[in-house]
Amino acid sequence: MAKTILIVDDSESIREVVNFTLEKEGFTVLVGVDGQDAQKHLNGDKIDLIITDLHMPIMDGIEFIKVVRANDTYKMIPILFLTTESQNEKKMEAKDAGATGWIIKPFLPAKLIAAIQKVMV
Amino acid sequence: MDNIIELLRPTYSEEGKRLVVQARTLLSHSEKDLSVNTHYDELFRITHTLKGNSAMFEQPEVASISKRLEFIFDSLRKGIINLSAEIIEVTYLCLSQIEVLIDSTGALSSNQWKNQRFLISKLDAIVESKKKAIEIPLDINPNRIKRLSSAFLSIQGFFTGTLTTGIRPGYKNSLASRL
Repeated sequence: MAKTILIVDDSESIREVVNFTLEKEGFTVLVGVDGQDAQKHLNGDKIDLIITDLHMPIMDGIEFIKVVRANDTYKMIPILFLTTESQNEKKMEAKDAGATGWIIKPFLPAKLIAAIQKVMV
Repeated sequence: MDNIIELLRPTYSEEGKRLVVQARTLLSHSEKDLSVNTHYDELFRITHTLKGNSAMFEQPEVASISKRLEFIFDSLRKGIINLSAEIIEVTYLCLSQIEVLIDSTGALSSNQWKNQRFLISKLDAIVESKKKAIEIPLDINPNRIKRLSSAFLSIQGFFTGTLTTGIRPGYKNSLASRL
């Protein structure tokens, strides 16, 4: 059965790049445009991994990670966040919120897949 | 990768132009009253998105401008610097340059390069003045600096990984033991 990945990013372009890459690799993809919107998938949807951006309107990535970690059904899911190299402070915040690891933008599809395989149990 | 990027370039271009329009609108609101700072978070987020998208879609000139604008709006939202007529003027010029470059896939024309160099020098001058504003005072106790550095290094140790990804050490083992 195909693994399901939830992508949360306010940038349509980045969502499309990630979506395209993952579907090509056989993953099923769910999408949220910000943390609040992504919560619609936390109502019983099967999710094996979450990839989230940090800077988003309405609900940012840090808050969303906290919401996931507080949810009994989804709290064990690995969460990778998308970031830029210059955001060390944000990396620490995301780690404290419960993130599993990060992917630096811009990324090559192979690196994205490698990072996903590293955290998928 | 090239296929994905080329396939999705129209999406990137449309989103970029939409973000430029949003930034102009927010800037025009800020321009009316320099003391109102409610739009800095949004302007920061827009420039951050422009930076990330342009890097992903291999447009280093757009990324170069966006990165500097992001830094300036981050400083504004944190109250480190104040909005000035110069920042507004340069930002408008930068948005126009981004709007033009976002559709260009070839080499920049000589005029575009001239504009690019001018804008980068203007932005760097603003960034430099901001850096001076947050310089650490020289009378800080050296022992405190030492303690802060070691605390920072130990925090950094939580993360490992390559240049492009990072996974917390022992994550798989700790997760396996919890399951």
